[in-house]
Amino acid sequence: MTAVEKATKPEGISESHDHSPLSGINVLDLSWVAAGPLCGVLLSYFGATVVRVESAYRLDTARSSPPRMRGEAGINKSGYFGALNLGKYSVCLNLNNPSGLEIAHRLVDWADVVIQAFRPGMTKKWAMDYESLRERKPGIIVLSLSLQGQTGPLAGLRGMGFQVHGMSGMASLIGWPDRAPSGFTHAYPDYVVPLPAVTATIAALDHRDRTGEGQEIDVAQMEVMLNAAGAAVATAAAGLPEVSRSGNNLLAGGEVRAAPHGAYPTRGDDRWIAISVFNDRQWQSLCTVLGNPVLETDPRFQTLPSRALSLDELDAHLAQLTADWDGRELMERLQAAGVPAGVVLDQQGLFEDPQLQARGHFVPIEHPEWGQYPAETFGARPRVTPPTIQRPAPCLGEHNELVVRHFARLSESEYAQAIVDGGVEFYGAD
Amino acid sequence: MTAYYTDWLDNQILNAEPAYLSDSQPVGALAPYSVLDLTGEIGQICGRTLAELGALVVKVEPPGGDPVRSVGPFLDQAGPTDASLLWQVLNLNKLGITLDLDHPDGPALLSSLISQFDLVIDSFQPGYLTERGISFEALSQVHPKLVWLSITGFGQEGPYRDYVWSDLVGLALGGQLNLWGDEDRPPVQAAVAQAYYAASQGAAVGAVAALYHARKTGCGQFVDASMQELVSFTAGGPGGITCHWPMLGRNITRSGPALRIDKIRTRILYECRDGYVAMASPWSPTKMPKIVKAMARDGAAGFLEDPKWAYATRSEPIAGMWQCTPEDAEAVEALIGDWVKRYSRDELLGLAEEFGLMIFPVRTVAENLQSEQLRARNFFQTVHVQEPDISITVAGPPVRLSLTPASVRSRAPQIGEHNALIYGRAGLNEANIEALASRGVI
Repeated sequence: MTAVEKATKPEGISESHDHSPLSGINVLDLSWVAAGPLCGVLLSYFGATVVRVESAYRLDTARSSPPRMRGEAGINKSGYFGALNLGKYSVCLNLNNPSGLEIAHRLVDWADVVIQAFRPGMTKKWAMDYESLRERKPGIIVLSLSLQGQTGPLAGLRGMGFQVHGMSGMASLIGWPDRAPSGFTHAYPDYVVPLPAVTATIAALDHRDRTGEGQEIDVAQMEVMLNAAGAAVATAAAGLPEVSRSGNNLLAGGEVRAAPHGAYPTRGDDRWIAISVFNDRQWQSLCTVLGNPVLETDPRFQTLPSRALSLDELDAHLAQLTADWDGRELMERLQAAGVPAGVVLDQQGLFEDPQLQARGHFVPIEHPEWGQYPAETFGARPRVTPPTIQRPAPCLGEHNELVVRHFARLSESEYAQAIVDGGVEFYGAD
Repeated sequence: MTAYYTDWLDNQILNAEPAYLSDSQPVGALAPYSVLDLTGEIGQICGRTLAELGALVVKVEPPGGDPVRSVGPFLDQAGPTDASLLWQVLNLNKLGITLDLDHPDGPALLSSLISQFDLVIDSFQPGYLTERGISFEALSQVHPKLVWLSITGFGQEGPYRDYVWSDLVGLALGGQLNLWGDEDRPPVQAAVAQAYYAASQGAAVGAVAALYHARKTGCGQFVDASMQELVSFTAGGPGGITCHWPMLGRNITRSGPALRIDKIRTRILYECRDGYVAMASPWSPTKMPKIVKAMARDGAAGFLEDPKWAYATRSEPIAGMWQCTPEDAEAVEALIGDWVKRYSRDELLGLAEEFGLMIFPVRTVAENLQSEQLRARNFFQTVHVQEPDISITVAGPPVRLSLTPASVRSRAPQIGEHNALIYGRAGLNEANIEALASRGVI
């Protein structure tokens, strides 16, 4: 940032650390709902300036998604939207209006990275497809997210995170062998896809810095989830018995890798502890902690191979014993004895978890409509340039003037004209 | 120094048949970077991701081989220590050396290698390396741009610092396990390690950010990655699910085939003739009429033909909508369910396209091998594993870069396969290397 830019910086722009990894990198986020916006959040954590383009008339559905702060109505009350847009600015533009589109193009000039998740083919009318953007700004990096990819016969297919979850095969890997898949509580792919997408984006920025060349990053949610399915693709392709949902058994090519391995009930309503025992030393430690002579001396359970033959009985025995314990206390005792064990935490549990607190995972921030609030930071922490939360999630169009005047560099009168022309929108204005 | 390795790689091509490449070997976006990978199962995908993006990644194993080599399933025809499909998948594109850090001479040997690398990744319990005299602080004095990424269950400090982990424990303490399963059974994992995937892929973001910073400023740093925190990200982003607690004082827990927000359960999974489909919530004026139209064509729409249902909502109604009871909702879902059962997944996909419905098949991973779309995109890569013609097919990289493509170039390394190369670059000759091997240091 030049001295002139710094001196003329208006009120309201908060700084990432000047030495954050992506300090000085500008990101134009044209995506909506979940996966795309989360990419913007990750970039913001590492210091990029991220602008979300929204419409005041066609609201991002995330803005009306629960939970809303204290259950209150309002387009700025959604915690879901808040999580997906932490750290960003918001500008309301009508891309179908020449004035709005011109501003968007000027923001492309400002940007190093554009995030978009429009259906392949939809962006050409706005000259926001990669080829047009590259012509306008050769070094631009465009992160294009979609269900199935930018190319191929099914490129135009719409979809949402949990549909990818089902189509990719990931959902089929979650649940019990005697039942339907049971992992649809949240749109899991939406939260996985941003990780490799942003790693590639930063790699592309690195390449651009060295060569001046930008590029398009084509991320298909389907492909990320198949990549996340580990050796399941290779197993099926090799003609071996498929990897399939197996409850909490830890199987590898039909062999049991750990026993016991599962979630066992503890005291309280719907309280569980995960325990995984990979060898006989851990088994003996588990028996010692539980202090149950029957378990310890039962010949069926002495070795891993023999435990593997009696998984159901083992689980049933263990469940009877763990049910009397407080989950945290059992975890602490098992961990002290070197047994991998962990309480199954719900959201309250995460907030109260002493390790997450010690890590500073929850960061208090001030939100204009929520008041003080615990935001969450990111779990990969460079020590010198840790992830930062630059600002709370924006209110709709909160930064219209700031973005249009200072990033898109419109003059005061041009900005006024853009409002009159309908390019810049205000929510609730007629 | 890195250029030497990449030239070497280009020349060798390491038995890979890169069917997806056209003519030349493209240079990856991370091509200038070299990485020393000391990780266990929790962190091996991190190195693979960086290697796909072009970095040179050298995997370090104990002389007897990494424990992941013993995890099945196994490719019968491959050699005993290279047959693990998990080992292959997690370690594609990497070179391999051996080093015994528990041998008295091991740590010094490791330290002598580090100057060749921009990034070191490990996943040892906190304290393991410092106990052996390997300290990031000391190493960065002589190698100021060094980035060291440590991927652990819970981080380098805190009350869980000494906790031992597994993928299941990571899912549990990260808040993910709580979200999966049926209400009448314990929470349940995925059959493939998702906590490890989150840890590895989340750590990779931190690594490239630190490398980017190091290139610009000349300053490296230590990156402390916690699986627990990274799992919490994949369980709902920075608070998308977690915020139910501070905002409303409630918890979201597993709900089987339905999405459950507070008391409202919206069915997502429907059984069909040959399996299951996932359907977006039909409860909106744009969606409900479409599915009703499709059902009506079969005479199956029943009471849903009443246009009032287009304005029904499960949650608090906003202008123009009315809130239906849970019993109503069940009846609607049952009616839709009966209609869905008539059709196969492919037929429903056809109907979805015809009527603009948001219905998608639930497939297995194996079924995706036949996907026209994935094949058209050359997503599945064939990797030669062993002479004469033993190959495996793997899922390709999760991203595509238009100018510097991510690519799967080679199989996982054999034990100590590149000892001569890497130790040679550190100034050791053949005799030195043999001596180290005979003493069990490598």
